[in-house]
Amino acid sequence: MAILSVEGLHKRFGANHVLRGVDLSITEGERIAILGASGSGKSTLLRCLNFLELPSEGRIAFKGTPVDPRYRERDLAGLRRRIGMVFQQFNLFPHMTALENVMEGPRSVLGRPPAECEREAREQLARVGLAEKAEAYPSALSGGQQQRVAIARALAMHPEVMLFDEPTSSLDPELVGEVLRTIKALAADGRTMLLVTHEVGFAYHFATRVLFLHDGRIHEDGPPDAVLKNPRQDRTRAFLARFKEFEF
Amino acid sequence: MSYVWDFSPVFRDAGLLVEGLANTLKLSGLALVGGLVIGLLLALARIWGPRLVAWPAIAIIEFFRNTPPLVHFFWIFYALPIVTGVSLAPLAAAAIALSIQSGAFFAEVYRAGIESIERGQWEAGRALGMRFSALMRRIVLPQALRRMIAPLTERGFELVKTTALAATLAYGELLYQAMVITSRSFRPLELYTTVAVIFFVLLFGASLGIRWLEARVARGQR
Amino acid sequence: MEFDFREVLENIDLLARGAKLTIALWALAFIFGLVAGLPIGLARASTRWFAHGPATAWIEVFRNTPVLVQLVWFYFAFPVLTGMQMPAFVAAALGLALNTSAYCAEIWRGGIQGIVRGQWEAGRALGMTGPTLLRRIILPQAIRRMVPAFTNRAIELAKVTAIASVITVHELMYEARLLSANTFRPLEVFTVIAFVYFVVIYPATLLSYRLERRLAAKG
Repeated sequence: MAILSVEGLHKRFGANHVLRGVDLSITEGERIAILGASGSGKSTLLRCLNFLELPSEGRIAFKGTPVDPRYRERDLAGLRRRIGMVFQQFNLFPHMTALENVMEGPRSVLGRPPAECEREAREQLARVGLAEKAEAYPSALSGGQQQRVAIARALAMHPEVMLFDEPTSSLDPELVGEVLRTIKALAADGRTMLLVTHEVGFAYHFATRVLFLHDGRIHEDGPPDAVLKNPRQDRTRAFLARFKEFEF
Repeated sequence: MSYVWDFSPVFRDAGLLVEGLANTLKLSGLALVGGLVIGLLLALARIWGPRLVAWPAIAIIEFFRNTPPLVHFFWIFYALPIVTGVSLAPLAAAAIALSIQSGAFFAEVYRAGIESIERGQWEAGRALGMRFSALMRRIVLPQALRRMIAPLTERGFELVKTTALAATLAYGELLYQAMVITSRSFRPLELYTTVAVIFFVLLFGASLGIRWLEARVARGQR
Repeated sequence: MEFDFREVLENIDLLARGAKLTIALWALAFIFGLVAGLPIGLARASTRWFAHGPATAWIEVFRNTPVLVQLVWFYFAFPVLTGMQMPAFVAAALGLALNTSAYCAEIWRGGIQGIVRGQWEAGRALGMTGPTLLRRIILPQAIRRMVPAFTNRAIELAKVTAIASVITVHELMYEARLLSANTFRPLEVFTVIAFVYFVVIYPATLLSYRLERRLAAKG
């Protein structure tokens, strides 16, 4: 059974028709990299999966249960507890320490007792290699460290699906590696993960499946070897060629 | 011709001046609390209310911000009783007028503070599965409040200055008492200078306190 | 409760007369304040204590006392000191003008001090001296930043003119109070007055927002 299935997804922002009919079936445990040019709709697609954007048309089902198209916030809140998201801009809560950020989900959303939340949070921070930064505020952390805290924050909820929206696009080049390594380490959990990224090399090694989005539609869908080494469409070839431009 | 200063009427009626100062503070306190509460209600109505609630809120905010406070005082004291049939004591009228007027300004401070919280914070909270009340309580308001301290205190400062207008409604605040004593003693220079000095000390002291508070909040801004 | 606006409308000429005085008061105070504010602001920004001290005192006195207290002082207390009688309008104009100069001084100071150090240095490196530097380099840049603050002050001053009615200046608010007392119709009179002020001030506020946005966009 698909953990997430998308049928006929369209999304319009005013006159802008961003997603033009996306059909996607995601099996549990898949690690999917979503590539494409700016404006192709890849972030929008990801944000529809946890309903930060509401579909204009189409159906999304989680574990076989279709999501009520009335999209009431309180129903969506329940769903979002099971799907974690990491943002391009990290979006850590600046008035809380790293530890408090990671504790926040279990504490005020899941209602767990504070001591348990703290224990769990320290574990997650240790997992992303930031145990000693627990008492630090986001402003005292580098971009890479902040993003790793954000990953820990999402993991603390023990979600069944993890969504990464261009997690390294806002980072200085030297800091990209530490975040990618953290994400790579999560592969061992066997969790379903979707990653929107420009890091084609990382996608090749990390993903079990690669999607190439163009103009709001999926143009390529297959294992990394197929899509990235032997793409069928010229468009994909052209897109990938751009990444070779500065290789040396 | 040199003027001979004579502060004896000031000292003789010092008790009245003290009473006036107390009344100034009383009106300030009432209007401050009233204004903060009314401001919050207006702001919430304006940001999240359905049109039926939001539009009146916007009308009240814009009306009271773009008309002189003196007009509010007079309208509430002389005109409102005709509408409601209930006559108001000077303190009540002044407090109501000043509460709504400062509430209108506070409402815009609240709104700016809440809207200044970037979208990413809302999204991060929602992505964790937070509902609106938790979002406001844990994420948005704590951050917004820090930004609002400065403009709120500055507005409060203006409020204390505006209490002097209540003298026109014969409310016994500080300026009014000075007017009363002057009419008896005919020493306007000494009396009004004294009152100006008292106001100055009060307000300048308050402004130093505000600056200290703002510096403290900024330091804690991590 | 019924509204009866007839008597208000019959006496609209009295209100208009008052409005003219309001405008005169406002214009006098604002222009003086704007112009006088510059040297005071510069003095406050100066490092020399004999400029900085008095300027700071001036500004703090006018900002830390209620306007009504200032007007009352100029009308009732000041003449005792000078031995000269002063008409209410003059007292009000004087009080408001000096008050405005204090607020404008702070705006000038903020605007000028907000100009990046490098601009001063670049000008001096070219061999410019104080007044030329100010005129050609600093002020043109500072003015763009200050316009929103000055328009806000102008709008605030429009509201403050009503206070002059308390010292019997026959401006709009005074005429309204007189009319209300004579016609026993405070509801109609004060409602009309409130609308008159609103109809003049609110568009000015909207324009100032638009101006602010336009200036912010140009950076």
